[in-house]
Amino acid sequence: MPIRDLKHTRFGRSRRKAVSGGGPPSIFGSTIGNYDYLTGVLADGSDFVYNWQDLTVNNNDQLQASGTNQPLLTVNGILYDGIDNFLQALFAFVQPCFYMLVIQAVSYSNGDAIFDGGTGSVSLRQLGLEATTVADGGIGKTGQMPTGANKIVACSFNGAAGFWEVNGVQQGGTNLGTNDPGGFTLGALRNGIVASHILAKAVSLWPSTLSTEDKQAVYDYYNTYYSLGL
Amino acid sequence: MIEIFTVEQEAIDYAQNIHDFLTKNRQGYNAERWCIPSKSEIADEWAVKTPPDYLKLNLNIVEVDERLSIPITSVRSFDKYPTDWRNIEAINIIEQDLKT
Repeated sequence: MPIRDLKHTRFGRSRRKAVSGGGPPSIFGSTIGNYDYLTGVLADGSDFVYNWQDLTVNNNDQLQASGTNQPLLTVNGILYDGIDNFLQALFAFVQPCFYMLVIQAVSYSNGDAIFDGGTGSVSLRQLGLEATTVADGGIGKTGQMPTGANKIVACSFNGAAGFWEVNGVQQGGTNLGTNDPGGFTLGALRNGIVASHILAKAVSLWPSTLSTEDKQAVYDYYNTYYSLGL
Repeated sequence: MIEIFTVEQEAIDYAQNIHDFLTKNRQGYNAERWCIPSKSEIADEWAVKTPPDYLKLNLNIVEVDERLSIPITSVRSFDKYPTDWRNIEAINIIEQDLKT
């Protein structure tokens, strides 16, 4: 199957736009998984994704072998239908774990899971009031995830020293638990249930903490690369 | 759209029918299966999601009996799983998560 690199498709976008400062920051070199919807997406003729390829040498591709669970590649990102779509990569992934995602809530449903671990619970979920999300053990701030708005989410799962942010704004709670994720599931809980209706542009995973400077560099890169205007 | 069946075999047959239909009519479709029908937590009911592009794919098929159609054995249709369907399982998992 061909790789659906959007720079070669009808979507007509470039894989790497000019970004001030040169390109992706060097911290991407230490990711254990790195995913960009503009490149390395394997999809069928109706654009349903069965492999969101890891851009690192680790080959931690996010896979989906069941047709009903495959999300849709669109010009704006990979669309998870909120019914049963999810992609999953299983690999050795233990704390400390650092996540950065560029995602959008398309619609909202209390309890739906945006991401989870592969074997262990390390999740981000929609919660209670509309536009609120919560990481495991965290406390969501109302209004941080309105529908239709691109957000850059950072989560540091690092025992009692964890934290999580939406668009650089730190949310409540620091102890996000001690579970080791054992991989990554995007769009649902790790067993594929309570799927969320989201649009994903990028995911980056580090098996370490990130410094404030590195986190900001990734934030700035995503903001420019995807023209988020944040 | 999610179709709910009260006979498990009918759900299995519909899922296989979808898989065969997509294998034949959706370019590049290479899934191992369409789905294993999921069972309700509270009743003897099984659910299968219909491919969102089936009407578009049907347009290219001349023979009517080769098109995909919603089986008459389906008893209910939903846009999303009913709230009393898989959320019970989800709540159990979330509660387990909170304990760990």
